[in-house]
Amino acid sequence: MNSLPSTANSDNGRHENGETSTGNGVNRDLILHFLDKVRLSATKRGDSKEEDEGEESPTELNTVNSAGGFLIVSPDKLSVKYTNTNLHGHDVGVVQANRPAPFKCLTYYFEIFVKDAGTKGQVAIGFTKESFKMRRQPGWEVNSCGYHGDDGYLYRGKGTGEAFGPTYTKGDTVGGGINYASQEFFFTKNGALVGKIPKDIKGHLFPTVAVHSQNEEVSVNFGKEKFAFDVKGYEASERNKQQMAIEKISIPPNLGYGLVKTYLLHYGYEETLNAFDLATKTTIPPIHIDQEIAIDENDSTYALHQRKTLRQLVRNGEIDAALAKLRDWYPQIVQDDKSVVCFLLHCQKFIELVRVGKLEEGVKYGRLELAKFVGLTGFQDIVEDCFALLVYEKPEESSVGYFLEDSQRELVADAVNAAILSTNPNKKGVQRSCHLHSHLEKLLRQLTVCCLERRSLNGDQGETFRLHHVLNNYSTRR
Amino acid sequence: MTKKRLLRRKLQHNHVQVKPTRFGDALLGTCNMTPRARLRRTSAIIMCKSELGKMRLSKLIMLCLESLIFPGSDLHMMMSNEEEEEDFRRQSIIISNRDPPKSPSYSPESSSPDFPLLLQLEEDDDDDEMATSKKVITREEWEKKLNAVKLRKEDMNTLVMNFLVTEGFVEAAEKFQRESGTKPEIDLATITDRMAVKKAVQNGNVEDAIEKVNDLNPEILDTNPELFFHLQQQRLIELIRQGKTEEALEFAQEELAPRGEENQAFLEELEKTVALLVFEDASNCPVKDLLDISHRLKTASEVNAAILTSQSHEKDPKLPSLLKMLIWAQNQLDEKAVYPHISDLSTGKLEDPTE
Repeated sequence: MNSLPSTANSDNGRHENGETSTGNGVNRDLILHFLDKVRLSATKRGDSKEEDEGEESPTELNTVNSAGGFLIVSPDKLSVKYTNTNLHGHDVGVVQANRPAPFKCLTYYFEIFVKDAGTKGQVAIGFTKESFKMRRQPGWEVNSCGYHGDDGYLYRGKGTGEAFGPTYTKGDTVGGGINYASQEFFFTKNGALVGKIPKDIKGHLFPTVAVHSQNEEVSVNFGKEKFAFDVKGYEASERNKQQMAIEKISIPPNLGYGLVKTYLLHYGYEETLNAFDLATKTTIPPIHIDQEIAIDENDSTYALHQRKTLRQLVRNGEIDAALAKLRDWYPQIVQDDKSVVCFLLHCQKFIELVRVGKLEEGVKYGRLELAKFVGLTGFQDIVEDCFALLVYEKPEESSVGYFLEDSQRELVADAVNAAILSTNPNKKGVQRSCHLHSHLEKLLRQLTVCCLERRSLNGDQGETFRLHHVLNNYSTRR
Repeated sequence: MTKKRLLRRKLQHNHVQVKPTRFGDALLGTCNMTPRARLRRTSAIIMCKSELGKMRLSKLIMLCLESLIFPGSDLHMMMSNEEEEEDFRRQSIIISNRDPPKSPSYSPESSSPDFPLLLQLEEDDDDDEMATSKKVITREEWEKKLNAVKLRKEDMNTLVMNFLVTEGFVEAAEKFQRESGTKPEIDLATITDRMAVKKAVQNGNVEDAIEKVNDLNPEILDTNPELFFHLQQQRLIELIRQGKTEEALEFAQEELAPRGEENQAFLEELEKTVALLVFEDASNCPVKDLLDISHRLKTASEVNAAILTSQSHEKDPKLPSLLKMLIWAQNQLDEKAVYPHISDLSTGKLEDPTE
């Protein structure tokens, strides 16, 4: 399954000249990978507000789609009163929030306060779909659920309820919430958790209140006022529960050390590696990494010193020197002047010239080395962004300022590193991703995809996993 | 899997069959046909989907269906570029190579009405998703998803730096800062101090360690009576180890006994420790664990954690937690889907999905 049929081109190449063929094959991946990474840095600034944050929360009651005639919604649209005399089960006064509950978060929660229990105290709180029949109690119909005040029962999709919690009446504050991580509804009374039930309704859910006897009056709090229930605390304890479950899992004790070591090897951080090796050998007790993780010394130390030297040159902005070394050591990487590695190095040279204010020289260099990439798919936009550096008086503060950041040098160094790894004759038959992704990166990618996939199977409900947020201790974004 | 059989029967009933080899051509040819002819091809394609279970092709099938709805639209146009088309052709070749032709006859000229069938098929697809059956994700699809993950190098570097800092590899952290440009989250100098304390405890120089902790931040021991007790207890153990019985007794009475009076748990610990003195051969007594090197390491990591906490730094590196989270996330997803696993984190090998 994993071996894609090689194209005719690379097959021929392999016969003629082994090294070029691998180079070509990897180059295709490099194009996608590293050029995409450049684009990724371009979007970095907008990162903190990705699509999730666009979710709007309910703010008031919907006065248009409500059981008109039976109830009156106050002018502030935050309280509701039953003005009719109830006669049967089809004249309930139901009102939904103006928006569905947001779902790209851990929980949603709202509260009601019973101002007046009326003649029978048939107040209910719950969640319903948009198409809900506004003259029925939430929970009586399919795709709805409700906690009723008169009997303390929980109704979900049927006319008969199940014993759930205490009854509630005038003066009580009752809350309804959705826990997207566990896919449960939960209800509270006067700040204490009453109970939870599995959420078996899919799609958008509207916070819903119902009143059903004369003079019943309920006010709703969508979060403008302080909640009686400690939602933040509840979220924290839910997170904690999950964290505890995760921490209980056992992994080989020294796996972390092994992954760090392969990471350092992969990217050619040679000095760090030596210091790390020395340190792990002298700790008490010494850490035996090699037993924990499959490190093929031959492969992973391939061209380590060359990779390290080139990384240093690129990181110091000495692009000419890096190119010279490459021509010397790995002519096959730079023989195609339109390859991604060459492109990135030329770009970087241009960037370095802009950095030190040698704009004229930069323009000359750009004409000489970068102009040929204009019009080439996959390069054009990046070339244009690069040239945009010339326009600004303070390029580092401009929208293309990311080119001048340290991370751009690191990225170019990574591209060179990957290109050198691809020349390893021992790695011919191996999957290309080996050159691109370190062991650690593979695991992190697997983790991200698992989390995303699980979330998408839950109808995209709940929080997204973002490594960046985990590392920076962002817990909640609400 | 009766549903599949049902599908196949329906398709056979309509005499729509297609050789997998013709799959790509059939699909690409669809766009140049009249809507009615397209309809027939499309149902053939859908059969291919059910036959081969190629979820990956579903996007293309959707495109075909779209081209049915919008007669003016063109499949070529919908495939945004040549590369995609090429990729798709290659896909179909792979399929044809992998699966020998199942049926000999390819009859696009079939004339039975296909439209109701098409709708039927779509409904069946929906049913499948609603059912409890797990979603199957092929290796190909999964790898595509893996490659689509936007992972920043800086974040990985931060993760590695966090590991080096928390584990106390100060030289490595310094080098890493220089080699990768990653900024450590705390002043690297504090690592040196922390490691000196840790090392002192590991070597049995508890008095020295206590002094160093107090130099670093006197509040650490003031606000951490349990840690302070454990350090003192370790000091007592070291005295006993050295055979300084009298000194040990004196130390226990003066320094440890008052604390034992304050706290029942401390008292029990203290009694256990003093019991070491009673036994002639300490290496063969019920409390011999206290003399073991592992007890020193335990105390050492307790101090280490306390110092990290005092520097408002987490006491554990993030990397092991993320690895545990990977196992957890895979377990969670197992309930809903079949997909390629990484069971052995130490090799990082992606396994083929097994049902």
